[in-house]
Amino acid sequence: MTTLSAIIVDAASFAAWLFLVAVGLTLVFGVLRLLNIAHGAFYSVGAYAGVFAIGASASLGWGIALQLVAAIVVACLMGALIGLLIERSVLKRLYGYPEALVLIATYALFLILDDLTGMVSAGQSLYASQPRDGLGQITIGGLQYPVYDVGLIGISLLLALAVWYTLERTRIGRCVTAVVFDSEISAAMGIHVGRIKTGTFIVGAMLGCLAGALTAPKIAVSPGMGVEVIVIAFAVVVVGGLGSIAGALLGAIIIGLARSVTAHLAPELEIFAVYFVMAGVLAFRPYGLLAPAEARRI
Amino acid sequence: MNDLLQCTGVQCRFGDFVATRGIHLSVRESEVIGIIGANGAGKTTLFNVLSGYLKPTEGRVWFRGVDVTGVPPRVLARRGIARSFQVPQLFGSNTVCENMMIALSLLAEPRRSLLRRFSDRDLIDQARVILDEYDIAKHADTVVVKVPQGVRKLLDIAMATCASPDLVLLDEPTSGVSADEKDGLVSRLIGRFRERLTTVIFIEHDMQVVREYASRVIALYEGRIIADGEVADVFADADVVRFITGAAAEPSVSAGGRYASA
Amino acid sequence: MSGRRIDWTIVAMLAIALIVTLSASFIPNWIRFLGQLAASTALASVGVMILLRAGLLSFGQSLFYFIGGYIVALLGKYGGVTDAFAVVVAAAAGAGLAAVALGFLLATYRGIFFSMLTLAVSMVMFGVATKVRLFGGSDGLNIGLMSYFGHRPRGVDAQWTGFVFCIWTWTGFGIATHVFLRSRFGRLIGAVADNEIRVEYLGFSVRRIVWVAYGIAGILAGAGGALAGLSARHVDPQFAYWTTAGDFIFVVLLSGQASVLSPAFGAFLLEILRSYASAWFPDQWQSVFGAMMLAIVLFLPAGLDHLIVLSGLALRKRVTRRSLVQGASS
Repeated sequence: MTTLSAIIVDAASFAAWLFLVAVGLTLVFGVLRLLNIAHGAFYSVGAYAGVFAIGASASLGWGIALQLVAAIVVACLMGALIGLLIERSVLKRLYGYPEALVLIATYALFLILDDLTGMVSAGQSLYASQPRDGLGQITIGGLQYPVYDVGLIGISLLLALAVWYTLERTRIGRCVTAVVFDSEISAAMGIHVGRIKTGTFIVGAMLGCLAGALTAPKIAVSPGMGVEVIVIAFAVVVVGGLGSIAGALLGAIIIGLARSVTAHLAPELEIFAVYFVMAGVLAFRPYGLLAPAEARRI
Repeated sequence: MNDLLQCTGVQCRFGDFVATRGIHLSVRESEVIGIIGANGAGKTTLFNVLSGYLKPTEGRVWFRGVDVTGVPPRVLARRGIARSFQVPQLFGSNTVCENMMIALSLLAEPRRSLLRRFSDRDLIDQARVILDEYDIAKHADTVVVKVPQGVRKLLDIAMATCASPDLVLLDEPTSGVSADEKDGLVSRLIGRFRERLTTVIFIEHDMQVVREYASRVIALYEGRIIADGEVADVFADADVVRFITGAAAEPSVSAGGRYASA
Repeated sequence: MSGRRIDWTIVAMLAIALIVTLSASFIPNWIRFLGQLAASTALASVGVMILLRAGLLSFGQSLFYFIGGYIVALLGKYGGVTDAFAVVVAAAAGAGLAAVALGFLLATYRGIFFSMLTLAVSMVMFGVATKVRLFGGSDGLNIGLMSYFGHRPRGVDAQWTGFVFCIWTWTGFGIATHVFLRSRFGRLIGAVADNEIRVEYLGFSVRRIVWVAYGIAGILAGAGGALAGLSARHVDPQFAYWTTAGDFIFVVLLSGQASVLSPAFGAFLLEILRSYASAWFPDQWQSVFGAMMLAIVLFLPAGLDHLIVLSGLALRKRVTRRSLVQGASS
């Protein structure tokens, strides 16, 4: 049945994108306990970096695979650089500050980064569709899809696997998990919490930029895309439970499905679908589906 | 005889963990009851249930003959149940006097007075009177985070009880209080409550305090009541000795006539 | 109640309004316009301040600002209503109702959840506004000249009347809010931020208190949006955009939260800063703005109020200080 397979493929594609975008955000929240509003700007930066990398490598005559590698490398480098800069100069000073002030700080950072990317691009929409065009189409369930889009689903799953593996099976991953549970006890156990926090923030920034770079071939990269991204990333993360990677995956799947279903069956409601789902989940699980339990306070 | 407070079959379950089970208890007016038990025995959970913070998974709670199971603390506070906390719950960024003023304006005054000015001379004076009674008036203008633990405990209790409640639940009133402050604190408190015939239930780890001030003792172990009765009887009970007080629970009087803790 | 003491904040507000009204004809046009915009921004910012008192940071007051402005525009366009008093009341009431409805859902939330949910809702409104023809799409709607209880000023008179109207609307709402904040309920809002459990045990529902605070913040933002629409004679979806919400937060951050007067000065400062900055750095205003916010958070989190206290200057601070000593606010 064409519509069913269309819905599923679209859902998977959208869910993959959502996970890519949201995983960095939830990781940073879990470890640093801060919601980085500037994550939307990392996405923006990554998208622009991807455009430039693809454009440059395409004009150098590189093949599609190399173009993508270039985009990924440049985006990750940018992410690492900016992440390091921000964490060392700003975030480090804000540990222990009231939550509202930290939120305002990340919001301010978002404004700055967003503007800077806008300046670099002189406010123009940029395109880098070479990889997507070059990879052709594939037929699923009677409909044609760009191979690139389907490929992204695979990349997203790989990323989810990589994150899971790192957190569960490597020593550093265990340290990160420990810090998520309780940073004081972790420090008492000899884990260098400061370095874990810096490292996690850098990884989160890189993931945000990566998401932007991988999305660049699909869209018109223009200023102002950052804020929509942060809002929807938050919705995904909140549905799944702040700080939970599995939650981000679950949230991505649920919202991806919701959006795909409404896009096909009730297109006028598409803009609201995400928020209805979020409101629905929050109504019976106010802190998300896989949010960790909280200890009694009194 | 009408009981002030009654519990039947109260059980609190958190997933697989059962914090309290099969709690039956009746409290008459003006009793002063001490609750003893090791950490994790379910004492604070019981208080949470009695004050409405937690709804028990099973069982009912009755206050003055009315079923109040699961009724939230804000309603019970207005019906006459006051509760103090192990860790004093205060308004950290306000001074001691302001804390008292807030408590008074919320509990002791009618709701429509809420739109009246906060820094009312009357309210300030009323607050200071109560602070004087608890002998913490000299800290009145200090911000609460800077004030010693004993003062914070007293303020916590003063705030909770400012509207002359019928039942007062004190959760470890002397924990974290230095030895020299303890005696004065408890005698002042219990004296005050006895004057007003307020019913008091207090959780205590200091057995001397329990012996000295309680008229009845309830012992909890692993969520159940293992003994409930007169002070001497409970302390002599074999289970209580085994699980809570230990063998050498006899008071020893030192040279100054003051009790040493068990 | 014991003898009445003078509330200096109210005196200051009335005095400022009076002085400004009397000198209105001598104030150059562009400053008058800035003053009107400042009044609208200040109203919405006071709403942010009230919520911040409860420990909640709202990124979405722009939603009610939008609703207020659009009620004025729609009443004018489809209802033929041009009375300034009527439309401002309608705008405030409409926005207030929306806030009560939304607050019912949002009052359960705190911290990051609250902030991001408010952001999400205002961005949804923005998205809807750009697409709906009724709201004029992304171009927005124009607003005609106002009448004031039947009196219809034109030309220079209209500008003067509009300005004076804005100043007194600000003063009216400001004084009402001040009385509210210095009351026991106002104190209760601050207590919520300190210790919710204690508030519940003192007999009050924290959820209801947050709900009321949110409703009032909505009313104020709606009034602000109405004034903004009247002054610019235009409303557009930007009213609901996240950058507008950011303005309100910036004002509170900049000026501190000592009293209702603080956002007024902060808002005026913002408008001045904005006009100069957009002249000097037209393309980079957003990053300048962001950099300023960051600097304030890092170096002066209590806002400029604190700086002025430190340097011991300014009548405003002395006036507000006196009322602080008498416990009138904060």
